[in-house]
Amino acid sequence: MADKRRSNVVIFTCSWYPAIAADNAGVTNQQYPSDARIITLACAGRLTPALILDAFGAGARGVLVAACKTELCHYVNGSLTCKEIVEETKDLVELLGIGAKRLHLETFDSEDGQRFAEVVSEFCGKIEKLGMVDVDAVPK
Amino acid sequence: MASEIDLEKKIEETRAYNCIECGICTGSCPVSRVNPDFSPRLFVEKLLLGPKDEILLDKELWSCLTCKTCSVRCPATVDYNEFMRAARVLAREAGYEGVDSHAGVLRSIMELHAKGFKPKGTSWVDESLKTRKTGEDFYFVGCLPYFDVIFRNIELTSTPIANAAVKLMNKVGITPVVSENERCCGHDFFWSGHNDEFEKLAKYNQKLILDAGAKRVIFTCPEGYHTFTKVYPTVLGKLGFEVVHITDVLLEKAKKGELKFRPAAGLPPATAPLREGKGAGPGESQTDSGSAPAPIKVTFQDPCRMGRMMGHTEGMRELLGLIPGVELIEMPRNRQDAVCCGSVEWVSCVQCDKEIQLGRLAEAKRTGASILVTACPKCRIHLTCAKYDKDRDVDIEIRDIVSLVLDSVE
Amino acid sequence: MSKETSTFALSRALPRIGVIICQCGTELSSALDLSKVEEHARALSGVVYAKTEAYPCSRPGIAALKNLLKEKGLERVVIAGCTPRLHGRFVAKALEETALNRWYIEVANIREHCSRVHRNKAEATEKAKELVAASVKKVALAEACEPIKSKPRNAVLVVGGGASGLAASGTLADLGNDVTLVEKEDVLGGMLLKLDKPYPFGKSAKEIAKERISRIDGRVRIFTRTEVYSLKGAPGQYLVQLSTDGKLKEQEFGAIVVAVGAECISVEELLRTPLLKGISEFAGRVITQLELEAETAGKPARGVLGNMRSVLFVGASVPELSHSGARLFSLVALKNAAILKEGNPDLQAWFLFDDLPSDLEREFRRARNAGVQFVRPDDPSVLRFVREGLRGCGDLEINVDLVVLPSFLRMPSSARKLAEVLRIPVDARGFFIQPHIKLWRNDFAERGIFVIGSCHSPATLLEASEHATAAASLTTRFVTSEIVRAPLLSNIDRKVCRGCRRCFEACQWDAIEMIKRESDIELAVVDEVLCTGCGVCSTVCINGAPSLAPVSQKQIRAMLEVVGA
Repeated sequence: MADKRRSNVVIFTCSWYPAIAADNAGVTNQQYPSDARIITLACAGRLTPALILDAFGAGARGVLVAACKTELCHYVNGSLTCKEIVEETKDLVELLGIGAKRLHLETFDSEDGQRFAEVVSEFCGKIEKLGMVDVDAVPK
Repeated sequence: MASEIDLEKKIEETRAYNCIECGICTGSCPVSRVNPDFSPRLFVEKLLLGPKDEILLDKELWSCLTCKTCSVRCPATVDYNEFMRAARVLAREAGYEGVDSHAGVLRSIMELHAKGFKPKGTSWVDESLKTRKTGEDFYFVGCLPYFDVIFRNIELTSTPIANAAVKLMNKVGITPVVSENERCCGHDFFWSGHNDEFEKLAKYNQKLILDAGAKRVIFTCPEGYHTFTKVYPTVLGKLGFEVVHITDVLLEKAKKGELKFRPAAGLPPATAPLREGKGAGPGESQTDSGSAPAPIKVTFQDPCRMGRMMGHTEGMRELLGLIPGVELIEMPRNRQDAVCCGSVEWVSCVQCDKEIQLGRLAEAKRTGASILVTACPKCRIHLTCAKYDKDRDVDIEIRDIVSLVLDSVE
Repeated sequence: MSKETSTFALSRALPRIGVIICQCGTELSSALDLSKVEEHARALSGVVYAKTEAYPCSRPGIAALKNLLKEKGLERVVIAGCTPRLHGRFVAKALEETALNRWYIEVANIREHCSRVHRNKAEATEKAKELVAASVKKVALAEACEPIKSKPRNAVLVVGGGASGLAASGTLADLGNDVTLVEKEDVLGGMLLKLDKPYPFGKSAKEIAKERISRIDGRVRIFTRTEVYSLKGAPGQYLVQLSTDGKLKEQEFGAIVVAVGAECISVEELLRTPLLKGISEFAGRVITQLELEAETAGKPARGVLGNMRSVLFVGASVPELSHSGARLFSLVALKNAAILKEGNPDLQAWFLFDDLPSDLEREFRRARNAGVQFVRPDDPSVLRFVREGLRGCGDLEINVDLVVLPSFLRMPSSARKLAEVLRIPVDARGFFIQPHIKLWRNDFAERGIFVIGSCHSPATLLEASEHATAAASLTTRFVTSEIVRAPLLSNIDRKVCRGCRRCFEACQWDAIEMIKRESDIELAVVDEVLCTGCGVCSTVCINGAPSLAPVSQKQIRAMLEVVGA
């Protein structure tokens, strides 16, 4: 039975290939699930573990990080830093009972809107199967 | 939900009006020594003379370590800790955000705990250990598993302390409950002004422990110990279980003969020559001379939360004293005068705090000890972090007391 | 911009926020229920005005907006419409002229990120509401930032004295620039010194090289045996260390043109690839196009191959080796096949290919008219060499004395080092990617470093010349006018920094310096000119000392609170 509680999938994109790809997805009328919410950062390298955890804390069911392929990063090591951060945060997300499957990093090497839409759709589909995150109510 | 804290009432309650401006607080404060903009006395002065809201705006509100050195010495018995804490709660309610060290990751984790996320935190438990899901004794591991991830950048793991604790408990016949759904005890949120979240954490933890059927909760962390013992009852009323620090449990068992000691394994060699005329260098076997080897000198960092805030200083020393071959040399500032490790509640973690840490490490080194023994995982982390940058020569090994005891028992 | 970063965020009365929702003609108004979005926006805290407009990005629309700002005393504006990279940009620019800070204007993308990608109107409308709410939260917490302005250095550096480098230097000199050209070899010319008759010029490559060199003689500062050793600085103000025979010299430049070319993969290496199955059996000679041109240069075509009677030109593109150079390699093969066959009618010439770019029609016809036989195997995977020549599936049998392979290009290892020094991203094969940076009004623009010619991707001489001219004119912006950069910056709070040096080690822009302040512990300080605002420092900092502009962590958290739930 589908959970009626509202919950979204947060997508952090850097402002280069992923952001342009996201726009192109719109330009070419690709379709992906409407629970996706895109937040664009200047560089994926500024993504801290706290921001990812905050996304889950705000209620997100899944977090997708979209960065440029590490060799193509316009800021040189931003994408590589992001990769390390996502790995570290996956460990934290496991400890927190959320599960590393709900956090995923995908790298892009082009502005292809279709690929963007496919990646988002696939991730949202995976998250849909995982359902909502298990949260306890505060005891009285 | 407002905290219902009334600043005026708090001032009365904490006796801030009693301040006689003697300045002993500032003179004692480890932060004031390195941060010219911070001073406990100045705070009280600002409060009493200026508009009440001004201190809520003050950035220095977040520099206080809540170590209680000022209060312990204040002749007017002003309760600075409570006063600072209340001010922080009000500051947050008014929208003045404090500081979050580590880009807020610890704060995020604790927030998620308070929001009810169900942690799965028992991957640290070594297979050889005996634990259970329900029982009378509950071992509260706290945030150690998270520290293992976050402090990879100073190459420090903290869960070995937990493993050592459970191993020792097993040795003295205790099979503790270890729960994977443990949430942060809330110490940091309590002291940094997140009142609502703190209450939620308290409720979650109480339920968890009662559901496990536990009658006693054992801590390795002094902050958790203090929070459960002194703060939880103010929010939850009767807890329904006893709270104890592991060093007390071990000391009791040792006195009954259930814990047998031997010279500790794996310690750095003695730095003093063995005997007159038989100058031995490091690495030479200690049994060569045929007589008792010189003791390994250690010094001890009193945790603020055990020492000053609970008056608990002797138990840990007695335990250390039971380890053969180890001699405790006190730092000049010990027990009630011990200096805080410099970073508390993941708020302030700035240059001034590093100065405090480096100063404390230097003080430890000056005792001639080769090991600084800590009894608090936080002290261990903060002092190790300061040491890691190698700014000054403060190279002294830092060891947790529980691990040291484990290395010293049969 | 040297505002003291405060670790406090004061809560004061919320600023007056206006929300304009664009109908985008009829697109958005039919794809979304805009009345619901407007209603929702009006109810958000801080919003004092919310209205749906047909064409806010049109000239009258923008004029109306400007009046609205004054009339309603709006301090922040959210425009909900198409992507900020399109019209939203114009509206934002126009509103700036009303003295509203650029960062007080936020564009919520409810088209490309919403209406266009979600067909369900109800779901898309819900999402649009949230996107607007997130932008409102973001702009409510925004802090005013001013662009970073710097005076440019009126000098251009050209790295590489080959075909494109010479062309660029020439054009730059024509435009009146102060040009410095550095070449790592002893002589100028690069690939031109190795070619015979490049397409389409009809002149010999050596002649072309001579012409180009004389064009710049006396007008460009030339340094041979010189390489770029280090680069520091920002667009318009680059400080470069040049190394000549190991001696270092520093110079300032406003822009840099990178034309280092690529190197040809040798025959020995090609012989080892799976492309040439059985090549060790082949009794004849195997050479590359480059070697062919070197051997035939300056000689008449007739009889140039000695007593070889048959030759096979391989024009097939091998994806692993050709990397978007398929056009170049096919072109060279066709041209050389045509030249050789025209000069030697008795020569048997085959051209093996599996695909030819359609714009090479003319060259293809020339070769075919000359008598070159074109062979397109049905199944390239079964091709193999035997002693006499090539065999394939069916009755494909080509016996030859000589096989000429394409001179595939790749980037030498020295190029990777240069890319690191100049901080140019490289693709999987090492070719340079044109680097960009965020400028003030436009989203992206060149960094003042232009990559031209084959070091970008295999280029014909004509293409390389075209790149060179284009780049030369684009450098103008970086050497003559004031450079205005978006204030993407990191500001390290000196009271918070602990001197752990992690940011210093992580920063790839040399923008962080460790400086002793009050105590002997060195603290990190950011150079505003060099900082690109990438934020890596803020991520590796154990303390949260750096705060990023213009979008703060606090703003992102506020947005997450809206879109997470």
